[in-house]
Amino acid sequence: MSFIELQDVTFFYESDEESALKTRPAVDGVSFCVEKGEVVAIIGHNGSGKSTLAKLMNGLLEPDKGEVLVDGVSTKDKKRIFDIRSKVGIVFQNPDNQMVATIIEDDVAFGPENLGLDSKEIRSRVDWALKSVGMSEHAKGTPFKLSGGQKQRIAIAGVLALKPQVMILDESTAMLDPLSRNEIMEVALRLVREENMTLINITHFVDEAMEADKIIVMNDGKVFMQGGKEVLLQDEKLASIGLEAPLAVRVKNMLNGVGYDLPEVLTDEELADCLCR
Amino acid sequence: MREISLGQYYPTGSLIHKLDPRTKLLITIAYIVMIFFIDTFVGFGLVFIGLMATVLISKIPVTKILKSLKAIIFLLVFTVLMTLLFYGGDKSEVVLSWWIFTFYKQQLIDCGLIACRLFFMVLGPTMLTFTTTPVQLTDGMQSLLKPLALIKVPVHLLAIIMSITLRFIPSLSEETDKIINAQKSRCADFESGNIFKRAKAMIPILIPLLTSSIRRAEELACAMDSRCFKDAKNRTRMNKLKFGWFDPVCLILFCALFFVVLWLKFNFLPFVDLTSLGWIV
Repeated sequence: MSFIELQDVTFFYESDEESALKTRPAVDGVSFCVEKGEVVAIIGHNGSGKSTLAKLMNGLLEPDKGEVLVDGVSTKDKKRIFDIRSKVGIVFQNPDNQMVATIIEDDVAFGPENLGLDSKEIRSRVDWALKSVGMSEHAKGTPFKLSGGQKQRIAIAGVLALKPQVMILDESTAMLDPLSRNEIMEVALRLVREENMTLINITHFVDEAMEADKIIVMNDGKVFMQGGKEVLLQDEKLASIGLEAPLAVRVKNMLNGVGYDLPEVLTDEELADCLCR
Repeated sequence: MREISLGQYYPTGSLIHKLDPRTKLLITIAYIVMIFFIDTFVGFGLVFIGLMATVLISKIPVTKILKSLKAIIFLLVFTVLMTLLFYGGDKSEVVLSWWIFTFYKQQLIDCGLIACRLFFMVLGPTMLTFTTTPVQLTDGMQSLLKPLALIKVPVHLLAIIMSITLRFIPSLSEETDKIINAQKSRCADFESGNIFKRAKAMIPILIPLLTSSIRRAEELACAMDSRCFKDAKNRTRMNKLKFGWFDPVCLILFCALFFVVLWLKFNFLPFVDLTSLGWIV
């Protein structure tokens, strides 16, 4: 069985039934599965419902129709909601708005403190989480002096300290400069390899999706496309919903349009290789 | 402004810094009460020795402490002047008579005592904030207020609210700066006009600040929820408050000082009569 399973999930932000009929659902009949150890990318433009999906997957929101199952447990099961939340952690977009304490290690400790663990266990988890994101030397400092990328690494540590099996990055790189973005992606992908975690990356940067095993494209609350890396090759289809295919794919298509005959490429390196030959 | 949530904490890692915040809070509260019992210079001398010892052990530079006392200089001078000008006490012994002013012995003594009282009143809590972070203070208060939980005061929740408040002061002050700059760049004028005009000019700052604070609060609530925040009660702490060997030492020394102060005030020991030692009073 899949670790996370969405079955025909529909969600309205209007809780009032009458007005809900008039408004469009934020998520509309979405079904997909996420397996353990997988890297999944959910892409889509603003308002496509991808952030709502994140909140549905750890029970912050409850689906109006359909079912979200995490490790076989429905997020509607109120009694086990904290079980689900400790298994599925979310890192949000703005690092400043997800920190609760003025001292970095106190902030990382917030999650395990909520679980009611004893202080020795909390200490070891905090040390481990800060080490995993490479921020150990800042443990006693305040987050205010750090860069956006460093702050976001601390936010990741805060989620890691809960020892989740799935980490959702909800546009966690959107506010960062390109260097910090790479830094965060490296940390996240390393955790997938070393800690055997599952990563769900919600993003509007198509190039981040190239690292994923499975790609889900969202549009208007519905799954527009779903599949492996081949999804990213469909330049025209992506463009029709306002997304850009990776640069290499677009260049290849343009060149083929003027008479070249290049094979399918995805990354810049592959394209360069092709062109050199 | 960014440093505001650390207050004036000055880390040196000294024994005083490592004291349990509860010890420091209790001593500071009792210290303020004690100051009101002192009405002799001998008493203030003892407190001065005690405070000097604290300062020395805490390794905080004296200049740093004096700088933080700058704010009360005006208050000090004002109080002393008031006592000098409007004195209605014992007028038996004239010390100095000049033009329309006459100074009496008791008047000068009272002046000195009031100045000392004010000075020491501020110095004690200053030492507390120099050696304790706001987070430690919150933890200490939470622990000391625990008995109130019996009458259903949500002590844990209050502690969390307080620490989040401290956490967001720098973020919001940064945001205020940003909004002010954004409005200024669109020719908003905050500096000219009378007080009403200026107050009105603040509205374009306050409204965006309010909406963004609400948005932040919502995002924070989401983040806290997703990090398994249930209720404040069943949480555990990573850094448990612990009494070390130096805590009882400090408490005993302070109690001894308090005892001497009370003795100087009430003269309750049968075998030594303070009134016979005229110089003390």
